[in-house]
Amino acid sequence: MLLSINRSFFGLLFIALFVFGGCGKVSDPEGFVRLTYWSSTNPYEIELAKELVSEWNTAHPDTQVILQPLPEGRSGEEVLIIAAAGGTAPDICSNVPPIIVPLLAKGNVLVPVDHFDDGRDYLAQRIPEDLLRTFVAADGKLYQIPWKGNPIMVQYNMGILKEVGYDHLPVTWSEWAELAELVSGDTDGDGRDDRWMGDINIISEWRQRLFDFYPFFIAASGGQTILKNNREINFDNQITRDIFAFFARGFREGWYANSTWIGDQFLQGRITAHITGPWNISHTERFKPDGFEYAFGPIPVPDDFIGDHYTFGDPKSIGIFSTTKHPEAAWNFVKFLISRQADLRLLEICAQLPLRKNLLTDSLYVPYFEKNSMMKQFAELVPYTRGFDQNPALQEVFDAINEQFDAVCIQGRRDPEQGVRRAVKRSANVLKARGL
Amino acid sequence: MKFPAVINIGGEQRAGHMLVAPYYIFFAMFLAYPLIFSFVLVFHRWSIVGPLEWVGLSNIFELGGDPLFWKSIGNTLIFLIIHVPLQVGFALVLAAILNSKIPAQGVFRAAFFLPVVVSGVAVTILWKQMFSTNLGILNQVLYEFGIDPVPWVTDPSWAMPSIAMMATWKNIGLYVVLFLAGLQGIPKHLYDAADIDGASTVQKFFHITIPAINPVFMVVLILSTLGGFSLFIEPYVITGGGPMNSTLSGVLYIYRQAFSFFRMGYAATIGFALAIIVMGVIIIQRRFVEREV
Repeated sequence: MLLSINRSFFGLLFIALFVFGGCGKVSDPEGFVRLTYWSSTNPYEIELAKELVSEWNTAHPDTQVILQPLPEGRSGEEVLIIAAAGGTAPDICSNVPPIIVPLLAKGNVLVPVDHFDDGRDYLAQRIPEDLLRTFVAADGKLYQIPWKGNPIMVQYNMGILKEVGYDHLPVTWSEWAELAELVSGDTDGDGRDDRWMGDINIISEWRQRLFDFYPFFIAASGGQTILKNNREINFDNQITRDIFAFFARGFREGWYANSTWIGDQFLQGRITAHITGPWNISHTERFKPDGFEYAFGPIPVPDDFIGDHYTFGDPKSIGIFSTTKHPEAAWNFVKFLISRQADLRLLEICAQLPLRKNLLTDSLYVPYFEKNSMMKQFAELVPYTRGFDQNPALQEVFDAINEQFDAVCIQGRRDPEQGVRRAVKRSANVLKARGL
Repeated sequence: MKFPAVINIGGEQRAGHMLVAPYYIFFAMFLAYPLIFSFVLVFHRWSIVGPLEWVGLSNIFELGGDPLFWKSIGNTLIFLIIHVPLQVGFALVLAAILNSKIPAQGVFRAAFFLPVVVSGVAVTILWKQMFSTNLGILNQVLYEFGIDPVPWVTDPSWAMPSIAMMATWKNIGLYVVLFLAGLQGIPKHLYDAADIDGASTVQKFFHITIPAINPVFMVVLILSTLGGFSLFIEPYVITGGGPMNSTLSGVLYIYRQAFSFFRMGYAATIGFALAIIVMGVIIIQRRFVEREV
């Protein structure tokens, strides 16, 4: 009896495997190329990707692209690395965080642009040379296709500035402090603070420091990043100590609240200045209350600073994964994704800035910037943005800074000098232990 | 040479093995293989995408001198010291109340169990809002009574107790159900006999109820301790391990090493160290509780 059940069971199992196994197989004709492409999960970027993929597929019947938004996960980094390890990475992904590129490159997961005859030249024509150089790996190769950036600026609630009689946007730390003193505190007389200068995120996670410490560091240092030559610590200096002291003063004097937040406090008028990128324009326009006025200003710099105003560019790159069977076809599709016309659609649909030379003078984009003056402000900053150093242990270095930012600035339990020393020591140990 | 009977599988025995084969496969794929692979990782450096790189005992040496690892263990123990007694105590009291004749008993039982079945992330986001120093409802209520705002999750000394309080609220329903089952299994004639002897309610509780539910008590204690050691979602969502690493739990530290820094070898080493510590605590707990209760 049992044996006959076994026979039936395995017979059915065999049929099921045969039938359903066959369902998955698609035989492509000779010369036909099928590419998988992962876009970001941002709805605007999905819309852009759908439009571009549809256009590409119509024009290239022999090279069809299958679009899929990046699978859900805590972060793009995590998803991409796990996909690469599991052999399920796509041919192309347009949401590769440059911070993980060194790690992916070390694991030979990405096809370097240098692999393609016209790779470097094509990108050199598109991207400002200075900026392109920051994406080059320590071995001299370019493992990513720098695509777009979101220069970080400060968004101000102009209603509050008018209310306190402040008639210009702060450019220096002193001006920031002056405004902070005016706007922060108890406005309704109930004895509790209800308005602050900024909403510094107090969650102890290294990513949060990309929107407070890091833009301030890049600005105050005139465009430097936290590692020199991608391997030497570059924040063991007075600039870092001053930034720590400046933020510590802000928490101590109540410019920033040591609190988690509920909802958008900037739009609710509780926060005067919000450190953000161009993506917040569409959010503000969509949700702002009637009569809400806002403007964008640069990341403030130390009073004695002389030079160009740099900021964090929050860049995103495109990657071609080495598991692709069709690297040339993938590169051709990528060139289409970063073409002049596609970049215009990136601006129009996503309000994000392509990393492109002559963005403000190219006749194709001029009408867009005439209509969107705030985006023009961000576009002007593109050549003055900095991204990430090309080092696989960079997250840990940022974590060391985050740990001390928490202790020195948010909690006020350590002096800046001690905090910076500890961050430097831990970072040095990390870089040494990883042999980097 | 003769093989022992158990190896000589045939007929019904073979059918039996085939029927349990899915579990063997499951065990091999999802338990044995990951466990063995994790152990191998202890002696390697691995970033998921690259090849395994032999590092000998260096992960273990690094662990010994890693202040954050010891901090995470200390934090977890602080959490356990607050959370386990709170959980066990409240669950027992609530179970005793729900076991007595009170109106709307079924509604209360369901209400206490509800947080257990709600998504941990959803509950944690809700509590994150309640804990907000400036705008949270907890401090709003305190303000009405003239009490200064409490830095629930923004001060290193308050953060872990606040998370322990929240975790207790979230999980207590499960332990209430377990205690309730234990209480309902106590023969009524024991209480009747005690009544005849003139025992008070407190005496009956300590001399009949507690000894009778000893096995349930042990289960609750162990489950609660194991749950405490796997503390992750709450600090991950609310504090990210801060302020000043005061809510960095062992599991959160493993996650950070594995998926923020992609140091799988070191994360596996922390995992094994944590497993040994958990085993030690459970052994001590069992010996102590089984002797004393």
